[in-house]
Amino acid sequence: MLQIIASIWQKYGYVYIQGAWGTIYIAVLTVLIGTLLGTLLAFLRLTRSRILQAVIRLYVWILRGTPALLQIYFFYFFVPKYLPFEMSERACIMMALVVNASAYVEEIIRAGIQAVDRGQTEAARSLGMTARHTMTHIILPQAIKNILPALGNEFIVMIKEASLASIFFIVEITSAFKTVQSATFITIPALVISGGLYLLLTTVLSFFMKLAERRLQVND
Amino acid sequence: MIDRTKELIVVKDLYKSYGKLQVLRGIDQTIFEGEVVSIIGASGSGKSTFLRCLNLLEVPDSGSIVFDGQEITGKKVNIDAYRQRIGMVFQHFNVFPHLKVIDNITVTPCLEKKMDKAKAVSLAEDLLRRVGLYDKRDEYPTKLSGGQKQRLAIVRALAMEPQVILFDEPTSALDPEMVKEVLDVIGELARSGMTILIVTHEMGFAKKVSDRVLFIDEGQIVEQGTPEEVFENTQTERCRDFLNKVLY
Amino acid sequence: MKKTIAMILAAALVLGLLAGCGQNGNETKAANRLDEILERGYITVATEPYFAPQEFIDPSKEGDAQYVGSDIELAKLIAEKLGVECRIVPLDFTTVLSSVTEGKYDLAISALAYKPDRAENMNLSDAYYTGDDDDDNSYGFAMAEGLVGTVTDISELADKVVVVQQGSLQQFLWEQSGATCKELKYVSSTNDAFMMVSEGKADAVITATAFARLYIEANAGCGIVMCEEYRFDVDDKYTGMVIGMQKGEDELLARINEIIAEVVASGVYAEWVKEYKAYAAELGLA
Repeated sequence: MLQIIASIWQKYGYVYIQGAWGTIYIAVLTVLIGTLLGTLLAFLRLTRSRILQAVIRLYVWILRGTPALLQIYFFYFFVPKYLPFEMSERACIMMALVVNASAYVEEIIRAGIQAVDRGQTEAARSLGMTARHTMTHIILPQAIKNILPALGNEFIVMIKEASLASIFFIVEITSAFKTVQSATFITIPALVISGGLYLLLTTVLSFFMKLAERRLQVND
Repeated sequence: MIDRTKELIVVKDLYKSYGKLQVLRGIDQTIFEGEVVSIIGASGSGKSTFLRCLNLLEVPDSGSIVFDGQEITGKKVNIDAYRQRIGMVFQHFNVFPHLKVIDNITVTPCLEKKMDKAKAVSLAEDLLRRVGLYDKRDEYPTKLSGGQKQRLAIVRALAMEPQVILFDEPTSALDPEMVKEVLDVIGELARSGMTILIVTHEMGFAKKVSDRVLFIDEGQIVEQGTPEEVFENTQTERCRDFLNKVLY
Repeated sequence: MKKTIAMILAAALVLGLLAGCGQNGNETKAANRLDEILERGYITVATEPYFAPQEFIDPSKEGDAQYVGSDIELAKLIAEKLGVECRIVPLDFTTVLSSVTEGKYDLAISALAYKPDRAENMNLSDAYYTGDDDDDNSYGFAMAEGLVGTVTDISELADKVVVVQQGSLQQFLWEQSGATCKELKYVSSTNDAFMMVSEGKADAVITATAFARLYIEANAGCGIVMCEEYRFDVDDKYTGMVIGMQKGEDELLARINEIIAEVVASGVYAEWVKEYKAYAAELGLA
């Protein structure tokens, strides 16, 4: 087995490396834009507008309640028909992943904020702090502690979910596996290399997330 | 100069219910500047709810609250401005765990009163010295005991220079050996002329420090008067029953 | 109550937006697809690039150039004859069929065989390749090594586990033959089917002979052997590879058939097959 893995790597190592960069690229974009969008949604949900809250609840309900794979198919086939402008297939798939991520991020942030003890808000408001200052100076700093571990987990999920893009032949670690498999007709060793790369990426990310979490615990 | 004839808080006909549960059934009360008023009663009697209505943490269903001459129950009221003048200390302290002790005190004056940071720090340090917490100034609240946290909460409220401080069962969550240190601070506050409303189970304290005592039962002020009147010459049956139960 | 109303309003808003946007600017201005292709200057060809020597991937190339094979050459030729650019769209097999049926892409060139249900849903062209060597274009089954000698006919698979690619001609042939098996498994790609036999998860895989030969040759020690004693009796109609396109696009069909006639006459496809067989073999590790 190890022999075969070495031979595969020798001949097709670059395919996997390209795939790894592809996965990283997809994951980074998904994380950055998905988190931004999710945060925006979380704050919009805190406003008084009933309509806005309902729309966002609907959005989150659908995106968290259906498989990401189905959402990708939906964005690939359905969305380009109704968009007033041209969007490349690749962009459609990225959109699907970003939108999917944003729903999970929204829930994480909302839950993180709600998990902060009510007494904190009461104390801050009793002192005469405005609602906005209460959020920015008292609630959010404490919410971040709740949010970060969950967000870190979500990032790891996003790395793995990038593999769904391989269905549409986007350059990615799983696509690399399929390409190598079809060229060499060898499956398991090719698979092991892909799995190993994912493990490497997720482990490195976990490590950095733990570092970040530890830093926040300084004052606990 | 404390004007003991000035009506600081005037409450008229206060009603509050949670769904079907009627918690306050028509409360009338006037608090004068400089007074120390203790509020006693059984759990669920509405005494905490009454207190929390005074700074609008709970919004009454009907009735009026006039603070220093201004009606604060209206819709267009800038409640933040009023709350700066009404301090509150909670049963569970609610100190800000992510801020150092000194910052707990300076954060609100700096943000809302636009106080100069140096001035706020100096003010805070004086307050900390006053309650014996100066050496903890750079610690985080997790390092403090319950009694220390509550003392911090008290000076945090004082930093906003309020006209009245509301205490909601400030010692109920404390280990017995720490109750006295907090009561001492409240007592000192009272002697300095601060207007105080305190919901408490500490009858001894209520007797010693209050100017007046209110007994609330089932959402109404059933009996009120000086500590002697309420504790020694109890007028009502219900109050007598309650006192029998709590005074061992 | 208020919250429910708000939710319903929100849903209505979203649905309205979706419906309202409707068919904007995506209506074809041209009368038919052929004209549209000529107008826009490129043709989209959907294919599943995991089927050597017809279509497969050379990882050392970039972009569209990585897709190689005899079908790819055909696609490039068609594009050249039409005077447009050729764009290859890689997809899994069922999506190749569904996307072309729906009209999202212009042509499906993916070693497609003629099947009655396929013909109902898509326009299928004339056959562009029927195999120079009868056996090469035949269909049969490959089985686990251990069964050599004991299994010589399809009827002997009655107590075996058989695997077949979903939606393929192979599946159709199996169903038509009336043969039975202990359990029938489906996969979306032929490679997976062969894997299953290698790993002992299935005993036999219904397959095109050409593909099986390539796989077995490249994969020494896979433990699979083509059953030489049995071949499906395939109607002439089914033996050719065809090109699929959206149903009703008859102008396009006519033009494609014209080009195919030229290709068949020149015999160039068979050469491509030989060329790419060798190419594919080089990509392996052996």
